[in-house]
Amino acid sequence: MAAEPTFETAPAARPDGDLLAVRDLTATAALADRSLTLLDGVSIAIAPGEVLGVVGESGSGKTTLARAVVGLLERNVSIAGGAIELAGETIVAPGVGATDQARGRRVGMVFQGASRSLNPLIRVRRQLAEVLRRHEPGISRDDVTRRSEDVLREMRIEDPDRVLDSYPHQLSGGLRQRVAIALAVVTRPSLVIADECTTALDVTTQAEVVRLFRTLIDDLGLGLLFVTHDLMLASDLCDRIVVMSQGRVVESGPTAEVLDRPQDPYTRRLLAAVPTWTEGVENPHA
Amino acid sequence: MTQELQAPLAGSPPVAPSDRSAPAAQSPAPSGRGAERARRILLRVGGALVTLLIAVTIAFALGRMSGDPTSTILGPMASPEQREALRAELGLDQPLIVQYLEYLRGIVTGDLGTSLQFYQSNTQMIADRLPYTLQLVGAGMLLAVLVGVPLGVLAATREGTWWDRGASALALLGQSVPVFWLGMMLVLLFAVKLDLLPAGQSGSPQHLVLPALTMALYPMAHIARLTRATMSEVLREPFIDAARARGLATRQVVWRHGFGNAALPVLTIVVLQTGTLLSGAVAVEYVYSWPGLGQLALQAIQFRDFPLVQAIVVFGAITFVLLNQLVDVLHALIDPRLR
Amino acid sequence: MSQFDASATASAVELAPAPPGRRRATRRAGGDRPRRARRTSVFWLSAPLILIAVTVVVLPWTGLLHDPHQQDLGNPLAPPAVLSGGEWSHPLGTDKLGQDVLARLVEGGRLTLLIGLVGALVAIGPGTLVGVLAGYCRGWVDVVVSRVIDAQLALPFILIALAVIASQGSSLPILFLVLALTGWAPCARVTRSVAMTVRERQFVLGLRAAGASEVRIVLRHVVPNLAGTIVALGTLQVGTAILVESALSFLGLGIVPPDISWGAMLASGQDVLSRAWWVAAFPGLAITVVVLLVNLLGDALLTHHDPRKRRR
Repeated sequence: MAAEPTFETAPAARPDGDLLAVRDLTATAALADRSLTLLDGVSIAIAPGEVLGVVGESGSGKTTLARAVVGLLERNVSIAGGAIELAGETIVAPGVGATDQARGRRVGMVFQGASRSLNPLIRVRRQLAEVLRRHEPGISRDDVTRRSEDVLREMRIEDPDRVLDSYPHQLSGGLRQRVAIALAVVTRPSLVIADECTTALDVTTQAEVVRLFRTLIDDLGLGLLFVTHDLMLASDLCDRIVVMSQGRVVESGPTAEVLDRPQDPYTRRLLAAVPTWTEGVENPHA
Repeated sequence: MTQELQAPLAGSPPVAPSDRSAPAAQSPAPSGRGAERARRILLRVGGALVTLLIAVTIAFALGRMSGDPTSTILGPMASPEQREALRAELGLDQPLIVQYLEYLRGIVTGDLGTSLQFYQSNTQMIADRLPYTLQLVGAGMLLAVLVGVPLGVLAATREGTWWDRGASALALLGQSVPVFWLGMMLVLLFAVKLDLLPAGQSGSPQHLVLPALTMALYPMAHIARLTRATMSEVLREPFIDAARARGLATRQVVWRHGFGNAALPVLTIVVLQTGTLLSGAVAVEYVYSWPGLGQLALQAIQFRDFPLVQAIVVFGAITFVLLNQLVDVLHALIDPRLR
Repeated sequence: MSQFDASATASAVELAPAPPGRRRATRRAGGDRPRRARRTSVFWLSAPLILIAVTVVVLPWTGLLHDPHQQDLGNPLAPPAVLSGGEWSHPLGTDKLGQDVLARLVEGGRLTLLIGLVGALVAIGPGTLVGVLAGYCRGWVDVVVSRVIDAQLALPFILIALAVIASQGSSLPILFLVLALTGWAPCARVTRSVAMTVRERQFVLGLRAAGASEVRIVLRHVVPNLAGTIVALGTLQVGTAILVESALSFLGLGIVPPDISWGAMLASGQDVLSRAWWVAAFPGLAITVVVLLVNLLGDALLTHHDPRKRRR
């Protein structure tokens, strides 16, 4: 599968300019006795208002890719080559780590298991306020309240006040998920990274989250990097899909194209594993 | 009372907060929840009382085991009549069960008996000496927390580095030094050789420095180790990554989100360590001639003044049990999931 | 602030409460390896050192060293050899009776180490028994035992120890009794918890379902599963026992002259501290080093047998 020529190695730069461009990114992890390549020349690009799905099994490197963008790699992982550009500005490259000012402000991130990405000891109100104050120093108290309520309403939360005054454990899984998304978008980033953010949810909640993302993208025009192992979900939401395996991009293209006419054998196997796609039955784990 | 400490080891795996709270949150009958809570509190307080009862009973047995106090007071030359009179005066001629009940009644009413040595109310004497010990324990604990917590956090945020190893080694060393020997060496260095600080007695803030330092080392080491262990677990939690991903400053992430969640076990240890103050105070007060409870206890033991020893032991047990209850309350205050 | 409580020594960190109600975080790739490697190296470092310490102390040095009891009132408080006025005939100096500090250190070490070992055994034995009983039987046995453990931990231990010795007189058996009385509770608490987890494990449930006798299950399956933890706790308890002995002897209620222990040496050094620091400094150093090594070893052992790690 080395040096696969069947797909374009670097998506051609689009005229309107990419929001996020990852070029030839290579990342290695230093283990006790050897080094392990986690990402091997990965290139992706996202335009404003676009949803890019990154699909692959666990261990394929998709989470490493997502975390590299916000500079949250493990201590033993380093960037060996390539670069990440955010709106034309290089934020990650070997020896460069300028993710600090992008993180939380220009890039929001939603993690898997929302209930565990909220601090259990702090009320939602304070967690939102903390992020707002951090990125907009000098923001007035009234503005903090207004913005917090607004963002929760955007998340289709009926009674923002009650949610704001709750501790995470007092909220349902779906609500927690929305609060986690609210925390990622309250600063109006231009890019949101969702790393397996629907994995632990039940089917109904998953569908709600996907719908929510769709509206956010349409309303706010943000770009979304949607990392998932769930092909069905990706096909629902994404404009384009990148398939990763063993640290490489094995296939990429518009969603329909990738799913209907997969070129790479790995993608075919992945698709074959989804019953719906091949047999037309309900996906049991969707 | 120590269930919290055992929880992670207890038979059933610790219940994740979401799992535990989920059914409660959906429970339609708030009154049922209140009753459940009241029952829980009652059980806890009841358990503490039983513990206390066992503890004071052991103390009582200890007092009886020490033999006939009349020879201690009157000396070996006293006549049988004199002894008998004193025994009656002390209530020792009563059946054991009566003495025991009388003893319990005394504890409930705050009467811990009379010293054989000083002919004074034990309660009063404890109250007189307590401020000194509190001073020592307070200063020592403050020092221990102020050094131990940052040391533990430092080690946890740099896990695996030489900082971590250094801090951990220092902490383990702190748990291996005999307290009174440390006291002697500090006296030797700062009082005898450098002549910077007074070696003993109390009175001025300077007098407090060395005893407090000595007192602080052990809890400091303990706190540092516990903080490191807890923090390094908390720092692996997803919400820490999430907080970092939101662009929060490292200081905010480490202290508010990280230590905020590690504070509970650390606080527990701080309170519980304070609860064992008597044991720690004995050696330190002895080395520095500090006029606190530990010193009083030593005096009492030297003169075989068992009623006083017993009183101090009972006082220590009550303090410990009360502080344990305080830990429970603190848990509920800090962690909304436990309310 | 008690140093004399095994639950409060090194073991407490490993057995420390995880933040309540939180799931244990999963270890990330590569994170566990160096850590385990380090613990292992600690083990290989401290185990031989302890062995050396024991060997040095236990070997018969007759002829090479002075008689530890031989007084030389003409040569009291002689400084260690490396200081001015010191002589190589007394490498670590002499005490106020002119007795050789080095010889007394070796002689005292024998008793101190003996007390450490036996003191740990007498605490671990009953502690394990009670803990296993409570953890395995549950029910009212467990309720009673737990309460008694709590009560024991609530009592200011050092005072109890002092009071017992003061009333019964100081002797080795009484010292061991005191060490057992005060050391069993922390050990029982831990073994109880571990026994409880072992009891619920699949193979035990299976054995019981298959009709194996309870006694057999406990002896053949539960106790062996506990062995690692017990050894680790016992190791830590050695350190605790040594510290307790030194504290009691220091206060004049443990080992008293003419017997020699490191704690008793400390006591004899206190009143000459300003004139002859070496009398107290060396035995204290010896205690610190030995306890530190024992704690390192116990810590390393405990990590290998962390009951929380085994549960999954």
